[in-house]
Amino acid sequence: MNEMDLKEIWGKSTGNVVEKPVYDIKAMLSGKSISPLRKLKRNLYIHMAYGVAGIGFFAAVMWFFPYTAVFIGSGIIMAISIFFLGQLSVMARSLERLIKLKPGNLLEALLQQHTLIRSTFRAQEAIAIPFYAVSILLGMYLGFIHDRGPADFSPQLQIWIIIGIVMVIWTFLAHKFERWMNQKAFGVHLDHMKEIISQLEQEPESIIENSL
Amino acid sequence: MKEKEFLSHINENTGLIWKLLHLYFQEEDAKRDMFQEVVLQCWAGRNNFRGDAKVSTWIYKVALFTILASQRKNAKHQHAPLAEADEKHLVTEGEARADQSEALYRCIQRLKDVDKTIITMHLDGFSNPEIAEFLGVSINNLNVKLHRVKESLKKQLTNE
Repeated sequence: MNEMDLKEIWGKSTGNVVEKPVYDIKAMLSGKSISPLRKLKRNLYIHMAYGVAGIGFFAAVMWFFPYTAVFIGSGIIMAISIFFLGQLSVMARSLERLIKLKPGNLLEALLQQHTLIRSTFRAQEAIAIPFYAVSILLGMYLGFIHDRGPADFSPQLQIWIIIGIVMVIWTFLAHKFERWMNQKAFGVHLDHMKEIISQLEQEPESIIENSL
Repeated sequence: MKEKEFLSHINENTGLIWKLLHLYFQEEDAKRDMFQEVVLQCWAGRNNFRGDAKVSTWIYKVALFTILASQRKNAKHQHAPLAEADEKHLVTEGEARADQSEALYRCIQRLKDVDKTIITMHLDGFSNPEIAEFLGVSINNLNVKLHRVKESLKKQLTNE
């Protein structure tokens, strides 16, 4: 079997193996893209909306619980949220550029996409850690003062230790949960891209001199 | 490119896109979703088409690009890899009786994604430098890969 045989067989296969579907192409133009980059962009905007809602919520907490500790805790969370929003908007702009960019080749495009998705998730996960920690601390404080009033908030060492343990466990679990969610949403895609990148980057052991 | 002209080009090349999708996806839903994604990507990038190549070539490349950079629901290959096909003698008696073109199609479906892309573009008439440029690999690298895939496919088909 020679080169021409394969091409000849392939030529025949295109006509009889695959049945052409009938689609309403015009209707498809108004459909929703399933591009992973667009999905990631939507995901970022949802996170940003949560960030804005979080700022509003903690502003309300400060309004209804005008105590120094609440101001400090809410202030820290709001500052983290604002920083978080800034970072997310930078990432959203990078994504937008990557979506609009006409990539040079497949390997370059996959490497860019893989790096951007991974770095976006790493940044989201890192920024969220202090958010979880301060949130649980503030939540426990609010529970305490709701029960006993702000004047009685002078916990013993054991209570501080318990608060510390709960804060560490909660932060750890929330962080793991976020990583699991990201892995669930994009893990398969990242693995798939990594596999194609490694296939493309794999250099042959020997180079055949004469071009085929 | 106006919408009417664009729709006409896509309609003319539906078979081409579908042929590629059929190589990479088994499930009808996945093929349909990806077909729509290819159409959307072509529509979004229609202004990048400068007319220095045939429209069908441009659509072909956008389709391949979209398929390879797309999100899969399942990390595993939609089709068993060729190495497994060798081991398990997946070219069954039924397949052996089938037409050679169908057998070739099935053998290509079982290749790894990159090998599949290389052989498909080669058989569809793209030159080696064009394929290497599209993938982002060196020509030497491509030549070796292509040689191996062709040998493997010929062996598979001859065994039948």
